[in-house]
Amino acid sequence: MNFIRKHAKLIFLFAAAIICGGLFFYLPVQENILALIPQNIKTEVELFQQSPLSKKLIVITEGQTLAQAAAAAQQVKEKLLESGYIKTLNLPEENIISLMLNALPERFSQQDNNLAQAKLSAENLSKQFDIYKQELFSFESMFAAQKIAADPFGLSQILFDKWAVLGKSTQTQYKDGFISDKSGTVLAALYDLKQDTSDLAFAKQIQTFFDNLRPKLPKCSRVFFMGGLRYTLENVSVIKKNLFIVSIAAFMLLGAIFLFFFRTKRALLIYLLPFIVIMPAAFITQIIFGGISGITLAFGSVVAGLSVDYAVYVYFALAAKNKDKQQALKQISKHLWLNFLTSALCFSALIFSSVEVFKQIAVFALTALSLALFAALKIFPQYFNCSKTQKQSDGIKIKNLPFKAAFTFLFILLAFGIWGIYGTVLSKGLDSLNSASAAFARDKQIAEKLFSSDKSALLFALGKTQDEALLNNEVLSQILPEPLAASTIFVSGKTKSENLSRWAEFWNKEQISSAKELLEEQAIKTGFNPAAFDGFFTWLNDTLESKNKANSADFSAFYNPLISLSNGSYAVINIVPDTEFYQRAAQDGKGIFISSNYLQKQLTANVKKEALLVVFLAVLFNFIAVLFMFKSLKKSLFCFLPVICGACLLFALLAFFRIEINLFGLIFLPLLVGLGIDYAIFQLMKYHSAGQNTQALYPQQALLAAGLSTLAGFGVLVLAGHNVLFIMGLCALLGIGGSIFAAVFILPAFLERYL
Amino acid sequence: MRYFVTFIFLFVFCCFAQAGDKTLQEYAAAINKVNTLKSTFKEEKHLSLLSQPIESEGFLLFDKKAQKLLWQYQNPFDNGFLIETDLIYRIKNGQKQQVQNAAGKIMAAQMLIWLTLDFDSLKQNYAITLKQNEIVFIPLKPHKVIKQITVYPDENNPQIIKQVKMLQPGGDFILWSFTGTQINPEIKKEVFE
Repeated sequence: MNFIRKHAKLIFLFAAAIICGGLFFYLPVQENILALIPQNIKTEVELFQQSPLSKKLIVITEGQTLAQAAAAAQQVKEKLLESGYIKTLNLPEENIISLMLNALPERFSQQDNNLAQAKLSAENLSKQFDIYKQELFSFESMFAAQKIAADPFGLSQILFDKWAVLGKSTQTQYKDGFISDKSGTVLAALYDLKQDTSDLAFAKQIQTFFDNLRPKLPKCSRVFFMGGLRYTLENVSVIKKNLFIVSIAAFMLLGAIFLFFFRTKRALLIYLLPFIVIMPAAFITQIIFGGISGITLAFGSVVAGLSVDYAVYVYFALAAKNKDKQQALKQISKHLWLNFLTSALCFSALIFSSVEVFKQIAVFALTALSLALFAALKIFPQYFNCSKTQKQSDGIKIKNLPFKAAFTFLFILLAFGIWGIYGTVLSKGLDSLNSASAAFARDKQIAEKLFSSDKSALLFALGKTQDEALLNNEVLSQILPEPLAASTIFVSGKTKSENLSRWAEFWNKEQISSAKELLEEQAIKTGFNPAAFDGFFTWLNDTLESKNKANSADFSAFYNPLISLSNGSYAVINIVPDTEFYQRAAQDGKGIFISSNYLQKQLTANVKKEALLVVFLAVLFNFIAVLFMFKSLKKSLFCFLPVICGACLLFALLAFFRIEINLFGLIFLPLLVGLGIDYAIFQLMKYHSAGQNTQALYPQQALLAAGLSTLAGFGVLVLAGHNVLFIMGLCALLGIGGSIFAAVFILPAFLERYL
Repeated sequence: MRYFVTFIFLFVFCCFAQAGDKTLQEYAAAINKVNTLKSTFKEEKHLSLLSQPIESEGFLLFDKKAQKLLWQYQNPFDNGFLIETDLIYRIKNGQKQQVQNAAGKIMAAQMLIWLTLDFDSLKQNYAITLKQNEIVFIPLKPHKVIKQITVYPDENNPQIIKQVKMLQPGGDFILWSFTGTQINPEIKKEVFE
């Protein structure tokens, strides 16, 4: 009982962390790329996500010959259908002519009117019947007979041609029913999955399916799949591979730091602090945002590093010899509050970003840091309040650099850094957020040759209702040299009504009579039975008397360009050439033009803008804070010295090694500001306390232990192969490393010289 | 298309079949002894679409082991088709082009059924009646193309059939008459190329 009473606060904190951890695992972790996108290009990205390929399972088969590739592709297709993983495409094979004929009146444009008129000429009909005769002598005659009787004038071909234009707009080649490369030895097929493509368990099932299928395929053929599922598997696989190495490395480094700086059981609490603060922070973030991104959680390691710093400073302050512990705690509290203020302001700057994940990180970090500060000042002191705690590291003495040397270092870093800022390249697109094995990169290259997104773009027509979107698509189509294929097949209510009137006008009594006469004459001439075509005229009359409404064709079952957006509106997708002409036309016609290239440019520009805003606000807030605290412009400016040095080293080395920085590297920048300022504040406090009895509160090893702990926990990510983890680790290693170096070696020389 | 392929394999099966008072199992046993087949045919189409029936002629080759079937028209037009395992090719002017069939899965399954004379599977789709001089297949569910298929074996040589008649729902029918049928002749691989 006494034990519980004595450790009540700590137990309560642990219990809260465990409860929050349990609740956290109960709530979903959401991963939506839109949460990573600046607000003003969110619509474009959301639309781009609706690209016809985005939710498909792309199966690619290779063979040494077309026959091998085709046989393998066919076999895979059959097995996939058997397995039930993909949706069956129920093409109305036997009724396809009826389907097309029934669909025609509502889509009967002026151009179709002219085509139909041509088909009703004696010359065309004669040619048509020659073809019919040949078809009746072929092995497909039993189908030809039905087709000829149902559609003697070949009117259904008008709609077949519209579908052909729609297929052609994808700029892909087809061989044996599969999308093909030029040689025909690489074939691709697109399938609709029955389940969500981002589901990891389902992705594993599909992978097992392909692993089992491979040995059964024809010799010299190979099959693989692409799409969202493959990305999911690759990312998870790469993260798993690296997790072991990274964990071992972090454990060893933290162990080394512990052995070197602490060596007491009580100091172990310092490293338990991250577990106490991260779970409640994650839970609160989940509650506020209705979910939490994996990116925010990954950022937890950064916050863990920061939270450790508070405990480290308290530990060393209380470990100081010959010091009143209460007084020491009071003194260090002021320093920690200032540290907290600077870090909190950095993360607060993220709230002003339009990227949702940035906002999540802000809430997560502010919660975690508040808890860490509370634990460091209110709970841990009773455990650190022991003068025997400080051991091995007592003797660390770091000599300050002479001013000239420090100035030279600073000058070199600044020059190198400015060069680096101009030379650093920001990764374009979202590919840099994924990671891949060599096998994946090779497969991706093969897939990209088949689906070259460089040549085509997506053109969207928006509307509050489905009909409005279809109507706007027609308006957009009218200003283009060639009509948009989707607008000719998927028509608005207004156009439908106009087309039906046109159809009725076309098939006036005179036209029907003339067509009957012509058909009878041609049938008799070529050995056909004129009575066999009575069904066509019965159908025609039904269309004119609106009796075939029930048969009105709905193509959306096998292709639907109409999508619903998250804001409740609708859009029609068109695939168009990626040219400036279509881009301008989209603006004129109030459409949205998105190509891979365009989106990449927009994304890069917007992410840069967001990063600059956040960094600017972080710097501004912190500058005001330190100015308020120190009431000295000179001291306030010195606080930024480690930040500038860290940033210079980071950008210089990124540029030198030609490493492209991605979105996550930019998220790191405000953090670098916060950490760098913390180290500077420590040195300033130490400088101020020189010759006073408070100097012992700021041993150099406290700064080193805090900085190295952050580096050990965070910088080891540089060992990871995953793009996101690697860039976070690299930025930590270079940025924080540079800040620590500047805070320990350069800043003291300047403080001595100018203060 | 799939009905057509169904019919083709039905025909191939029938070529192997023996008439008389035999049971279906005995037919299945007999088919195992037939590995290759050669025959010429005359095809008569009695269609309501036409004023008069039309006729065409050609030949067929079948290799059970290679799972290949060549159906070649020679008169009045030169065309046909080739089945290689589960792939179907249209042959026109000496060129072959793969036929894409949305019901590929069904076709492949049908092929296996007919080639192996899997009566258990056939009975799921057809009512099969054996009479003295004919075998009648009637689809259990209404077909748009096939109403009934009747096979007429040769009375003198039960391994050979004389005629196959496919009746369509509208009353149209196609009649194939076979002559010069050879069972297990040597067929060179090249003829299927």
